[in-house]
Amino acid sequence: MIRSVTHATLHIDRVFDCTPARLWRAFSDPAQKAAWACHETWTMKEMTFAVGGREISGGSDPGGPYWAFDGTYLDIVPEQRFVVAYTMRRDGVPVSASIITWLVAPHARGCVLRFTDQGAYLDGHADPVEREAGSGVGLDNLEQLLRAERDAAA
Amino acid sequence: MTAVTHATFCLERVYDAAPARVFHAFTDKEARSRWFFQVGAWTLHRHSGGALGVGEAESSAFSPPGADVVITNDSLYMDVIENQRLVFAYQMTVAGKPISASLATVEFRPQGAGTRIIFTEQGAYFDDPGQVAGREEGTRELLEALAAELEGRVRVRIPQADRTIESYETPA
Repeated sequence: MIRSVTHATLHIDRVFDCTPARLWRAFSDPAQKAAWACHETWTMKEMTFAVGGREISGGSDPGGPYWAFDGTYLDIVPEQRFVVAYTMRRDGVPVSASIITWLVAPHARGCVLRFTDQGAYLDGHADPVEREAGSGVGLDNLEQLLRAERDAAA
Repeated sequence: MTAVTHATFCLERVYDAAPARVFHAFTDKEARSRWFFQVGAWTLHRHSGGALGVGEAESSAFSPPGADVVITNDSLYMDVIENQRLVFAYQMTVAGKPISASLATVEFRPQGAGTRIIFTEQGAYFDDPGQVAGREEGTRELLEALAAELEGRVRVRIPQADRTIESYETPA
């Protein structure tokens, strides 16, 4: 088998209409994280938000392959930043290894999230364009969750 | 917002040894204590783990020659294909303060009878952006130290009037 690696860096910036502390809970609290990062076919198996702690989730569409996310938190500065290293596997085959830096800061309209994914895509099994789209969908879900909460409080 | 600099650098080096030998020297605990941790020149306070396998971790604490500052390195193997590829994430601290989190991809490719290493680091460097150049230079030095390890050369420190020169030499 010919081995290959494609390296790519993805940046996504999002402004949220909430405090940095509120946004931080959406990342650090396992139930809240699952509420936006998981769905009917994707479940959280384990999450310990601490340096060295793991985040393990996965799922599959009917008849499709099983996708597994296996993450380890490398760095946490409360309400400011955290870094997670993770691999993605498709039916057990590693398709990528990456680190994501999540940066949170106050903003005139609430707070801003700067998401940076630095990835190594392995043996042609995954590509950064799909990954960027998938990450964007997760952040859309997060935005909807926070908007629904704000509307309910209004 | 805390300052974070994201950067990628890529270094290549050709070794006059087969991929299996280079891969072994890169990952073997005893070999690493020589070329990576530079025991003898640096002070290695602790070094644990380092078994070869996905999910395995290596944790270490060390100080540079003549200095008291403690540096730590915690690495996690994320992809291991023996004699071909190693991907690991690592986090470093200096004097208790986190300075970086990185993803390193090391490709071992046959080149003639030897091996070409392609080392790619994708890093998040905290606070001081000057770290990027320093990390690249430090990694280049490590790849040189790996060459010395493979050639049986040893690190020597040669005291001069005003400084110490570090070099490698072949034992007689």
